[in-house]
Amino acid sequence: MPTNLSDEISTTISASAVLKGLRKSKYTIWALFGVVIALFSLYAIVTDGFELFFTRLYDGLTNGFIYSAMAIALVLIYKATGVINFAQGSMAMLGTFVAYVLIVEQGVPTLLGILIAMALSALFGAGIERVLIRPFDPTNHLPITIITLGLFLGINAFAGLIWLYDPRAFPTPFPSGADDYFELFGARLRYDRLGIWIMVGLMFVLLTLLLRKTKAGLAFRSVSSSIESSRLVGINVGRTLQFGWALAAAVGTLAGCLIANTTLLEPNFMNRVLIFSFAAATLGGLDSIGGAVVGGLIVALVETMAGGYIDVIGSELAATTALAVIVVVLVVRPNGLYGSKRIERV
Amino acid sequence: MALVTLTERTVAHRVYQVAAWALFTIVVLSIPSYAGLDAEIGRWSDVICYAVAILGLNLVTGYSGQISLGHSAFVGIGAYVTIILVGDHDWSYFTAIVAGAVIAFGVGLLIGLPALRIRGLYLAVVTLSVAVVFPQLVQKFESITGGDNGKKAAAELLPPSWTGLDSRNRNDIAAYKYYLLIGVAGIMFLLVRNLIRSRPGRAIVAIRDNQTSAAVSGVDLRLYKTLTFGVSAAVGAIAGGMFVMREPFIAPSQFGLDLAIFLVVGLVLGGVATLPGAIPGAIILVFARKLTTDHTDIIPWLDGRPGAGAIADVLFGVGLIVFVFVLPGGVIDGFRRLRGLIVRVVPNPAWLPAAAAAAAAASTQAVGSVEPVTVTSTTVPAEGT
Amino acid sequence: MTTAALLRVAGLHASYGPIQVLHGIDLEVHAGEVVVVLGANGAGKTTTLRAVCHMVATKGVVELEGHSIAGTSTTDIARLGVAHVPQGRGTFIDLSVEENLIVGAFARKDKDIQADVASWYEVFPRLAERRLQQAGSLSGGEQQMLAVARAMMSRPKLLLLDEPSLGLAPMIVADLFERLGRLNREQGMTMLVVEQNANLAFDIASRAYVLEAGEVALSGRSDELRHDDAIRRAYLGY
Repeated sequence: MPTNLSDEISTTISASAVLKGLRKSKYTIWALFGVVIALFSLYAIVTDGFELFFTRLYDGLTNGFIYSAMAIALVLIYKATGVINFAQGSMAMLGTFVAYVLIVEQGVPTLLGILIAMALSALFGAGIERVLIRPFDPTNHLPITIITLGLFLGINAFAGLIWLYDPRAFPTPFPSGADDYFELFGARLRYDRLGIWIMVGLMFVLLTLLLRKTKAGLAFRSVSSSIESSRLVGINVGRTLQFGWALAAAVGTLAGCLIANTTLLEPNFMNRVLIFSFAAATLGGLDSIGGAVVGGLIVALVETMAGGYIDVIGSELAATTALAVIVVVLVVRPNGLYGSKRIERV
Repeated sequence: MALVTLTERTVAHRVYQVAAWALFTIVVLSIPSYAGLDAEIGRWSDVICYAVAILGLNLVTGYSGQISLGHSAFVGIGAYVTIILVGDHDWSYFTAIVAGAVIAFGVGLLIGLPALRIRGLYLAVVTLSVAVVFPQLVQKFESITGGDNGKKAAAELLPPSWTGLDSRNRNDIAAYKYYLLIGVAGIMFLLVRNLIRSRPGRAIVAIRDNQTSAAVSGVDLRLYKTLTFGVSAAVGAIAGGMFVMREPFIAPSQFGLDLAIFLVVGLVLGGVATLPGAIPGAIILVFARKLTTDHTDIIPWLDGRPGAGAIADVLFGVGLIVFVFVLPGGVIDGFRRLRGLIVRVVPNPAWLPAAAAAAAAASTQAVGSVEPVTVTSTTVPAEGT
Repeated sequence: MTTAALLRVAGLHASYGPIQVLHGIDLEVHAGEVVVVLGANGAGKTTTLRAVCHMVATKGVVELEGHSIAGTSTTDIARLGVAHVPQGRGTFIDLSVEENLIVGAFARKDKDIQADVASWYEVFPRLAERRLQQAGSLSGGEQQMLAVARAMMSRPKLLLLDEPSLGLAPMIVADLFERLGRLNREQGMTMLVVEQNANLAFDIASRAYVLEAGEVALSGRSDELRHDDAIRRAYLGY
């Protein structure tokens, strides 16, 4: 008897020691995640087949890139100013409507129309920073946040007044005929959806290059790190923030134009996406652009896959599930997956 | 330069305080007679409900500094629990509201738990999710909640005969409800005021101002942060129950993201971390929309365009922005400054000897009476949250 | 023959909101000098440096090379050649060591920036070892070296140092001050240093001001001050 007991004790002790070691390793979390996903995918394919799985996967990825795009815009402003721009979606919507007017009403080619709209949005974003944001002390977040709330309400309503609420179709710059797809793993991947993936990916790469390799990007990252130190090296903080707002506005408009093609354009069309983008940005870490991309993909995939395969959840609670996942992650990592921890000194 | 200077705790000061309260009470009590029709009275009843909702939000966001964009969910919980208990199970309104508060308290504690680890804007996004999810949950559990079609309770609050009101007259019913709501609101404001001034209340404010220092000073962060969420949720739920008292018919769309945003707006416009701020905040919420909706004929181009509410929202948005520039402390801050021009109250705490108080009176610059400070953030180098 | 001061401050008042901290400071720094500002906690030493860079509300005369900079913004003052290493070092913790150095030269438009980075790596080999590391992961002493190098990258006319010894181990501080002394002797770098550690400061400074409650209590040549027992005991705490 005693030998068994001591054996038990030593196995328990060594097991808990192993567990503790595992818990500390961050790769364990990812590994566990990976195992869960692999098992789930296996179950999904076995029950409903390859085609459905990959169709859903492609939908999830498309949504994921869409959420990522908006999340990137949110992260840009948060990084620079520490404020969440609640009006980001509205500004994107406004930019998308401008693109609509150019493309559908004025006959400008789609891609060009989108680019012009992005440029105009950048100007608008720069203007907002100069007029409404700069008068405030950048470290006092509450008034600035309220201003973004005011913009959210005002811009949404303004768009409703001008364009009413009838949904419109928004064109895509990619081939979108009935035959414009190719088969991958048994499911159809449409060119226009793939185009979204590529554009968002491209935008991410360009943005990263901009921030890491250019002087303006360095200024932006310096201001994000420390406003006071930036002033002390001669960086014009106001203009840098303005640059950040302009960039975020342009990115948002691009996201809006891409999304509009997958649903219908009307003043409230960004609302749903915005929530998910907030969630994605938070999940990824509010000051990490790469995190925004990862966050967007995770949120969308959880939403599509859990909503599709788990009947109890269904499409109504898909959103809830995604949000629940985020809360869980945040409890484990309060600054998101890739957010930076600020050590507080007493 | 004030016209009148009063020293705290003197007879003159007391008279001023009593007179001010009396004036306020008279105005509040005479609104039903002034408003007359049930629709108008109903709007003022809405103001009372919103005021209590904002009061609850203020506890967690204003006084405790934890940004909550999910308060609408608690109001919704209170509303739905009340209407289900009253409508389907014949409970009395008052016990139902209390039940709603208890349930919301529990949910608030649950939500407060992650708030321990998550802070600032991360918390804002989590609570935002709560606000979005709540209507979806209501829709999902249609059988109990009536889903998208809303839920109605047959039992309405009717004035008993001793009040002298006619229970068949819609205006009298509205007036009766108004007075009931005033009573409930009065109790809630009193409770919250006592909470703020108590030791736990000071602990909460300490957490808001500097969490690390508070922890180091012995404040149990976990306990207070979660409790604050719970209490704020309970107050919000009571507001929800009050909405049902006002009108026993609710639908999930009333308790979604729009409400969450409007409550925050009302809080900030009224004055963050001020108790009375809930009232002007609520008044603006209810009447600003009506005002702008009524006067869309001013701009002829807008006539015939759908969404007169959209105009209200544009003006709302603009107004919000203007407000932040002009009156960052909210309406209450403006009101106090105005009042400070007329009456100046000099502090005279009980522990200060009389001579020193007189000397202090000559040199202090007290504006208005002593109240908890409005929220400003300290410009400490540590940025991030 | 008196050389005009590189930095001249006269009747400087400074306040944080309603609280006045400086009540009329007069001081001068001449080119090639190291001047140290001493005083107890709360005397206004840090505020003096911040006032020179217009980081607080000020009143009074602040002149750089004879031109008034009293109303100039912090950013522009930096661009005029005043490099300020704030208390706590002000490192860009999210940027790499190398990026910190490069951003130090932000206001420069010439082509020698990379060459300067290389030469500072020679002066501070520890920084070279960690060039791609995130600056926030460096030790206190390393961050202080980085902060000085970053400030020097702008090729400033005047270097302001706010309590460089703060939070550093004595050996590191001694090394730091030795290097600062060398910087002054070999490159003629003009410095205004705020310090609590009077002893070390006197080693490199030619003149000192002692602040008390927002005013200059006394000033003079450092060798005189350091050997005056009464002054040492009254103002310098040792």
